[in-house]
Amino acid sequence: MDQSNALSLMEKLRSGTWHRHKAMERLPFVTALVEGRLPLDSYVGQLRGLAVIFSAMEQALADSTSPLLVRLRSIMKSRFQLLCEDLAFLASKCVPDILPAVRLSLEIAAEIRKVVLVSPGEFLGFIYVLEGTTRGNRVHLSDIKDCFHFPEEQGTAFYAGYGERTRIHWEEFSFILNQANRELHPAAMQGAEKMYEALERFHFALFPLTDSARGLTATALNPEAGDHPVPRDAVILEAALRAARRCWDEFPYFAIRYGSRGRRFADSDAAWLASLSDLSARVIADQVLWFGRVLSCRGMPTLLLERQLELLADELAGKGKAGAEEALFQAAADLRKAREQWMPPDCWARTRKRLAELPVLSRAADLPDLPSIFSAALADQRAGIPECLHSLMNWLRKTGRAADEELDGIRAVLAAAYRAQGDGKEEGGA
Amino acid sequence: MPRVAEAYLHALLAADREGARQVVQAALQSGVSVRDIYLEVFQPVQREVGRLWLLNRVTVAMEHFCTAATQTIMTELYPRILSARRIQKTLLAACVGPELHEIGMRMVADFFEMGGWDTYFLGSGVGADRLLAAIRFRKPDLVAISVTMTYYVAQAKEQIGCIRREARNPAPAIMVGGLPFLADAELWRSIGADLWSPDARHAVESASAWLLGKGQTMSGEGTGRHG
Ligand code: B12
Repeated sequence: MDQSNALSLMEKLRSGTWHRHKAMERLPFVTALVEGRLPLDSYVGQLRGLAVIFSAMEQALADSTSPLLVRLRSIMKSRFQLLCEDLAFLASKCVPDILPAVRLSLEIAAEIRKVVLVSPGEFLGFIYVLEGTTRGNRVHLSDIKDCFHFPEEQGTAFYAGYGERTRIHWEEFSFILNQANRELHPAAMQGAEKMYEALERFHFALFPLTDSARGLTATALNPEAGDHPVPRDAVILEAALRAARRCWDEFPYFAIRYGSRGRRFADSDAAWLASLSDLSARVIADQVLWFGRVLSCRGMPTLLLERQLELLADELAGKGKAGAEEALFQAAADLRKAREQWMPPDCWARTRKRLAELPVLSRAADLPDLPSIFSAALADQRAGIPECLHSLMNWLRKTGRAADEELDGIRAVLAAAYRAQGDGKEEGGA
Repeated sequence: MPRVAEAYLHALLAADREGARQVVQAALQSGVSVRDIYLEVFQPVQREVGRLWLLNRVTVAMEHFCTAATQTIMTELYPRILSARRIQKTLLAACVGPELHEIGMRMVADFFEMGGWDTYFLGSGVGADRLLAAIRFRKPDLVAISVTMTYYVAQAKEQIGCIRREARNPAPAIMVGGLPFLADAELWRSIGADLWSPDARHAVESASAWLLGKGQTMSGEGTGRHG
């Protein structure tokens, strides 16, 4: 009888990838860490890249309906959140990226998204390696502390991982993974090999550092941003991040609906918007329209983008960036003009007021901006983007903020506003 | 044909790569050409997937899956692409700098290959240095540069300037294409290209016409560089 057949998946994975595991321990990155000479930039680069990779892995797990993956998910902690905590502490947003490492992390993330759909066995191998890092990290937690001396154990949440529970967690994890169908074993082995190899390459890119491969990418601002440009000019980038914060604070809806993930997107999106300022007015207009649609379909009416652009222009005022300021201000003005064309100011004001009077919205004290958001979503609907209103209604229903009859009340106000526009007065009288 | 595209899209959205492959195989068996599969199935389906992502109806993961499946199926069609007769013309194709969208450029390169050109597709993420080195080595008649994300148009302009300065003997013709050029019909000229084309089919026709206009033959005999 073939001996390997009698082995569990975990046993096969462990013995089959032992050489890889050992090789990881000999990486220059790890040696430098152990010897206390790892540069902080390499550590930040590692956390950033792993955040890109773990966000893809956790999203793939969250989307899966496979019973095995659902069980695994139920015992796994979000290590992506831990990475975000560390990165927030390190306030690393303006530390330049190690570009080859970013590229590799994006490639690994893309591979994860593909493999989960086409090869469930390989995906198991990926999870085995990624979740397995929690054990290696425990070993190196003290090295990180000795190397960087962060105050009060901050900046090490990812390395601390499951803490005292690490061993028990690993046993639970192994138990579930061992339930995988035997047919998946060969693919799982392949997946594990592939992920080890990819992580090795990623770590070679992180250390030793070379100056030529540095620059700022969107993933530094938001590990889930994907791949898009951000301004190379630090003054513009900082203005963008400030504008993002102001816009976020002006509309509590953002924080309540989109939480910390939304906050990260606010930064990367603002940086992308600011990067447009070098382009021609026509191209900017085209990109802004496209982006407005992307956001609107996800529940953020174009009004929010309009405001974001205004704030961005405002932040750039007096910073010697007149060209960029002017371009972004113009883009905001164009959006406003289009919005007012679909919903003239008097209609807007009336609709807003009517909505604010509805008990369902007036009792939402934490969301004073909802009447404006709904009015803006109506303007978007008229402009041919009905998705925003649907998204808002669904959200109110799903979060239990509005009952079906109350949503009907909102619909009635919006419908009246819609009809009223034709003859300039609201149906049913105001 | 829209029915084939619909069936193909349907299979992809069900994460059924095998089903998608079968749709393509059945169409080929019923006499549909590879060119039509490219332009009437792969191209509209890829764009539709992009639209569905924009509308928040498919996830990024699904979009990645569809793209990867289409790329794999395109690779499987290679034997049908490589068999064409040669016309002794060389194309070097690349996506500009950090541009990752490569399916459009690859399709264009495959159409040139089917038209008898010798094609070299460098893929995505090609910097000016690598492009220049490849031009010096391959001595192409035509360099094709693809841009999808508008913000990389400026880099395409830089690359074209660089080719003009550094690769003069022989100087290849430079063609551009991709989404931003579809949106603005004059853009190609303003960045210094010799020609552009809206899609893969027209690209081969325009390139041939352009080279003929410069006194080159398209058969490998006569004045062609490799003749
Ligand atoms: C697949 C895809 C991706 C894949 C690409 C994978 C790959 N290996 O190619 C990945 C995931 C990497 C990707 C990433 C991104 N993408 Co994308 N992507 C797409 C998608 C869905 C399909 C592209 C495609 O395959 N089209 C099919 C081909 C055949 O069409 P084509 O490219 O137009 O090519 C034809 C012609 O244009 C012409 N042509 C093209 N090149 C050339 C060159 C020459 C010389 C000539 C003559 C002709 C020519 O001929 C081709 C064949 O007929 C499009 C949707 C769309 N509408 O295209 C979005 C799309 C292009 N992406 C978009 C975005 C926003 C992004 C990201 C910024 C997302 C993110 N945050 O990460 C990144 C940017 C990455 C980067 N740095 O380049 C947006 C762009 C919108 C905009 N602002 O302009 C689109 C339009 C999606 C959408 N609906 O909003 N994307």
